[in-house]
Amino acid sequence: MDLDAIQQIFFQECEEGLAGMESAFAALRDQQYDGETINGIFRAVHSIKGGAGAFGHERLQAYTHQYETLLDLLRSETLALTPALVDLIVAAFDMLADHVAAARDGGDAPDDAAMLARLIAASSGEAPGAAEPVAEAPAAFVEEAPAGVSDDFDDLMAMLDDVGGAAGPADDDDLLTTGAAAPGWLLTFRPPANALDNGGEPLLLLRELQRMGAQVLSCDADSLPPLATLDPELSYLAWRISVPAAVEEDDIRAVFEFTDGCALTLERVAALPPVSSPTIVVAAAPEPSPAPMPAPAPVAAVAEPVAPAPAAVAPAPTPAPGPAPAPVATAPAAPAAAPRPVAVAPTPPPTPVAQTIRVDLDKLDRLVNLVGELVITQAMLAQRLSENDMAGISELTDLDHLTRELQESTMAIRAQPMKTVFSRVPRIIRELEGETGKRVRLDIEGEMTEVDKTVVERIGEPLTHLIRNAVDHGLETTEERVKAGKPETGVVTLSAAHHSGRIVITVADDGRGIDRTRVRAKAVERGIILPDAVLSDEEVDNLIFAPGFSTAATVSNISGRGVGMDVVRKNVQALGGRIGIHSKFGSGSSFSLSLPLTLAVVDGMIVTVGDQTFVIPLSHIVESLRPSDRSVTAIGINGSVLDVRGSYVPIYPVAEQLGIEGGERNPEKAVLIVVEGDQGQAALLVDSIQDQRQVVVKSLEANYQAIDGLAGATILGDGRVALIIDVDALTSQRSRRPQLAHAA
Amino acid sequence: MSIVLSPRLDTAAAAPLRLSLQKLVDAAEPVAIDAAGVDQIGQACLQVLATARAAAVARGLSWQVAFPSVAMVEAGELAAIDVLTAA
Repeated sequence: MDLDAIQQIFFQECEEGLAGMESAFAALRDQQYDGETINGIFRAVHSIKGGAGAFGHERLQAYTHQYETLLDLLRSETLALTPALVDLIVAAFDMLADHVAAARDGGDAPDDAAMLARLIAASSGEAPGAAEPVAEAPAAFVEEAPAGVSDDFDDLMAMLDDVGGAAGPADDDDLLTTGAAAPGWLLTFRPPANALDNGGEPLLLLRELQRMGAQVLSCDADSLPPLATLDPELSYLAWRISVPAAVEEDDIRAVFEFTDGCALTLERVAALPPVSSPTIVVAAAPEPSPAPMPAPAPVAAVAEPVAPAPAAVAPAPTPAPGPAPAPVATAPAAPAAAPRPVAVAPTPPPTPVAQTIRVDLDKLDRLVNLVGELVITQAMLAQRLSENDMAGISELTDLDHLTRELQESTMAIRAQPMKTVFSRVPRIIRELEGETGKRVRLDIEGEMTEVDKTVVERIGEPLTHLIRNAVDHGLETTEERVKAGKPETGVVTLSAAHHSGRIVITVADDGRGIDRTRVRAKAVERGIILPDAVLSDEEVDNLIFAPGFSTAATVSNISGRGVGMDVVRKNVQALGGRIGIHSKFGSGSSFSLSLPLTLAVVDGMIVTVGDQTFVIPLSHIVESLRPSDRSVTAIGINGSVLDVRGSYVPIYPVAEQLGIEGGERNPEKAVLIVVEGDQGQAALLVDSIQDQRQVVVKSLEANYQAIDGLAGATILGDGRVALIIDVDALTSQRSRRPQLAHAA
Repeated sequence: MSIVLSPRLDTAAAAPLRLSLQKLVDAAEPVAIDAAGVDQIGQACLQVLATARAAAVARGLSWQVAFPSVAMVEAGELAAIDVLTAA
C-alpha cells in the first residue's frame, strides 16, 4: 500500500468521524448527552488532528488544534456547555468539514480566521459571540490573517498566540492547565536505565503527576543512541515537569516513593517556564551501515506487513473475543516502579476498539458474484436431484440453508447504515436556514437502517434535492407560519425503515403542502397537460415530476438550479426505486423513496405465461388464487377487476402487458397473483405457478438492454433464462408491448 | 511496505518493533506505520519509534504514522516526545 492509499483511508476515517460528530450534535441540541458524548466529539477531532499532522495538512492540523482545545475544556468540565457554546462547536464543525474537504481535494483551505478567533475567545472563558465578518475581527488579527494566509504552521500558531494574548494567556496550551507565569514546582525526573525491568513503566509516574495537575514541559532524549545500537529494554529519557504550587511537596515525592535510582530534583519556582514543543529525536551521528539482514523471525509485537495490494490497511491483529485490552494505567508494573495508589480522578474507561477491517470493494463484488453463481449452481443441483427422485435428501436442505446464509452474510458485508447519508443533512439544513431565514428543526428516524452500499452511495444527490425542496418550497416563512397558526419553527422529518423487503426513505415537512390549483395551472401553462384534462389529486401531485416543471415564482439559489424533480425521479428509478408523494394543502408534504435493499438476489415466484417463464419478486406478492367466475367483473372493452374480499383490484394479464403469444387472457382459466405496488394492489394474470425460490438478478441493461416492465433476468435451475417482472412498471402500463415477445 | 502496530506495545514488544523498523531503514524503504490499533504504548516502544524516525530522517527516508489511535497520541503527549510528525 502506498502513502496515497493510506491517506485515502485517513480521509474515509475523517468522513466517519465527522458523521459521528454530527450525531453527537443532535444529542447535544436535544439535551440528551453525557460526558461520553463530548468525549466522542473530542476523540473525532483529535484523530483528525493526528492524521492531519501525519500527512502534512498543516492548516487542518492548526484548526483542529484550536477546536480540540475548546472541546478539551468542555470534556473536563472546565467550561460549562451552554447553548451558545453548542452553537459555536457546531459552527466550528462545519468549518472543520470544509477543511477536511479542502485537504482531501487539494483545494484552498477555508478562511478560518474569524472562527479561530471565536474558538480562542471561548476557550478563554468568554461567552461565545455570533459569527462576525473577518473585517470586524480585531485589527491586529486581520492584518496578520489575509485571505491568502500563510500555510506555515509555525506562523499560524504564532498568529493564534497573538490573538490569544488579547483574550487570555499567551500560550493556548496553557489554557488547559496552569498559566505560564504562575508559581509552582519545577521537577526534573530521569528514571534509571533499568527502569523498564520487570514491567516497570515510567510513563505511569508521569500520568500520576498529570492527575495532580502537573504538565510535562519537555523531554530530554539526548541520551537515546542510534536505532542500531538501541537497547529497547533500557530507559533513556528524562523530563522537566511543572507541578502546580498547590500540590504539597510530600505528595509529589510520594509518587516516586517506591522507585529506586531515579535522578530527581524538585524546586519551588516563582514562575514556571513555558511548555516546549514535543521533542523530536534527531540522529546525533550517522546511522551505522546496514547490518546483514537477520534471519526472519516471528515479530511478536508487529502484525504482518501489509502487502502493497489495492486492499486497504489490514487491521491490527485482534485477540480472540474476551476482555478488552487493559489500559496503560493498569499494566502490570514492577513493585519498584509502581506508583502510589491515589484516590484522585478515576482512570477513564478504555475506549472500545472498533473491530473492523477495510476491504477493497472490488474484492467484495467478486465475492458477491461468486455467491450468486453458487446460488444458481445450488438451484441446478436441486433440479437435477429432483429429476432423480432425490429432492428430499437432507444434504440438499442443508446446502440450501447454508447457501442462503452465505448469501445473506455476504450482502450484509455490503450493507451500510443510512446514517452515512443522513449525517450530511443537518449541515444542509443549517445552510438553508441561513440562506432562507426560515427556522427549521430536523427530525431523523431510523438512521441505523441498513441498505446496500451502492444505494447509500447513489441516494445522496436525490435526497439532498428533496431536503432542499422541502425547506425552500415546502416550508413557509416564519411570518407565514405564524399567520397560519403554526409554530415558528418548521419541521423536516427524514426517516428510513425497512418495509416489505425494501427500504423506504421519507422526507416530510409540515409546510404549506402542494397547491394543486397552482400546480395544475402551471402544467397547463407549460403544455404538460390539456386544460380540460381530468386528473386525480395523486396525478396532479405527480405533475411536479414532469421534466422542466417548476412552480417557484422566482428560481431560487437553493432548489431551482435546473435540476428538477424529474431528475430526482430518474435517479431513484435508476436504483430500482420509486418515489411517491402524499400532500395535504396547508399541512405539509411527504416524499417517499422506496428502494430495493440489494440489487443482487431476490426471492421470487416462478410463473409460466405462454411458453415463457417469469419471476415475480416475492416482496410484492400478497396472495395467489384461482378466481371463481363471480369474483371477476368486466370493465370497459378489455378491462376486468377482481373482487378480493370486497375490494376491487385491476387485473393485468401478463401475456397482454408483455405481448406474449399463447398466454392465457381469461381470468377464470388462469392464476391471479395479487401484488402490492406503487399504484396499490393489482392482480397479475399468469398461466400457472411453477415454484418459489431465490434467484440471482442479472442486469438486463448490462447483458441486453433495459426493458420497461422487466427488472432483470435470472438463470433457473434447469439452465433456462427467466425474466423478472417489474411489478410497479407492469401495473402502471396500459398498453400491450408486442416488442417484448421475444426478449427472453 | 507498511507496518501495522499491535494493540499492546509494552516493553516486551520493543525489541521486535526495533527489528522490524531497522529492517525497513536498512532496506532504505519509506517507513509507513499504521497505528490505529494501538491500545497502549509504553516508554520502550516510544523510544524505539523516536530513534527509528531519527534514523529514517537521517537516511532521507519518509516517515508516516497513519491513524494514530487516541492511546498513541496521548502517550506521545504525556511523554512530550513526537513520533507522529511526518518526515
